[in-house]
Amino acid sequence: LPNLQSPSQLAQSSHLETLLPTNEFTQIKPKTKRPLLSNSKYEDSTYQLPQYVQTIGEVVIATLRLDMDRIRAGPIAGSHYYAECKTQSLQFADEELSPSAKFFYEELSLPRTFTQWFQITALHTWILSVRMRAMPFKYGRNYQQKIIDRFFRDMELRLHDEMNVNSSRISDQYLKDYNSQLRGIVCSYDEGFATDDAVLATALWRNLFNAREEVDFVKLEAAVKYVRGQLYILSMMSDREFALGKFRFVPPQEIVERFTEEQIAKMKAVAKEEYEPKDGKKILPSQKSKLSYEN
Amino acid sequence: MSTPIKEAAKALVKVLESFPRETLTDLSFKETQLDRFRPLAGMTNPIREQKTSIKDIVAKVNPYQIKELEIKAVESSLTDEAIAQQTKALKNLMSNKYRDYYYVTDKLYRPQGNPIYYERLLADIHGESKENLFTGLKTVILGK
Repeated sequence: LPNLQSPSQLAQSSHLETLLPTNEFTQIKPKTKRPLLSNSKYEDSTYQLPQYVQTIGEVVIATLRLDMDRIRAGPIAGSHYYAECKTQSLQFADEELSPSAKFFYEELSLPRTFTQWFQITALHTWILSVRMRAMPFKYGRNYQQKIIDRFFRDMELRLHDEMNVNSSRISDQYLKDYNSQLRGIVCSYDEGFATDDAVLATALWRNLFNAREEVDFVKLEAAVKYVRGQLYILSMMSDREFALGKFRFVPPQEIVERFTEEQIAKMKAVAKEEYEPKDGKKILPSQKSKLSYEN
Repeated sequence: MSTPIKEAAKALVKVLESFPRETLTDLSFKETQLDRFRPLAGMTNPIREQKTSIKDIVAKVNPYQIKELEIKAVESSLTDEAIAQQTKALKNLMSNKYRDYYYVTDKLYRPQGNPIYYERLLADIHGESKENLFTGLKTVILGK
């Protein structure tokens, strides 16, 4: 039984202590905080589209036969999934850490800096992009594009509003740096994912742990466990469920166990019940999708 | 230096030596960690030529580069027990414990949108088949 501990418990079980220096210049202490996504009312979690607008929308989608799988990439990948990635490690100097941020900053002993937030968010967007690659090409690629576009747009705004980088020349320089880092991140994580745990661990060491010399291998192992666990859950979701935004990252404090045959069958049955077209069951045009709910 | 620590460090160095060497970059986990633990195991580190790395050059050219915090392990906590635990973690990684337990099937390894993605990537990284101008252009234009 290789799986009695959660990544968080594993990281905390290490006997090795790590000293984390704080540097007041690298702390994130914005004068005004940005909203999670944007100021747009459409991205507010409590916003409800008026009924008449909804009705008009459904008619437009039906008459123009719009490809909802394509349109959905923006709101699901660019907004919903990006927020999911962003919040995993979002932190401010004068606020308490969320449970998932605690895992990264305290239990894995990573520094509380903006660049570290970028690294952790990039790791999560990469995890999602592995699943997007397994969707039909034109949809998966669109999802990937939307989440990365949003990531960089958000970084630009965060640098300006929260990190007080007022010169666009400097922030452009940062963004170019982050962009080339992201290419390396995707390439090396992909290599680790497709080969073995040791290679994935070295990729995480180079990126997430910033190639730090005095790294704790137990924490590195916990990070590998965390990543593999998320990918396992993603591999169990059908394209349709994933594309509709049903995935949430498993908190690092929870144990991911392998599904039994019965559980898998049950999940498929639930998806079938929800998505299979039946007589007398109406699916709104905006909810239509060509993606499989059985894979 | 006390013997239990030395013995534990020796075992750790042995495991580290069988760790895979990075193919993508000069920055090597294996080398860095061997350099860190060899002195503890009573071994000497090989003398290497000091090369200026890309990192140093970039740091010189780009004054706005983000400064990194130096994070250290507490030396007194590096007991023989702690080192043995570190060795075990490395062994777990070497045995592919998590890849095999969380096996993701060909659904992710041969992704529907681009089935030979990982094959091509690994072949290129390991130098088995280099992409040429034509295949490269095709990837850039078509996206796969």
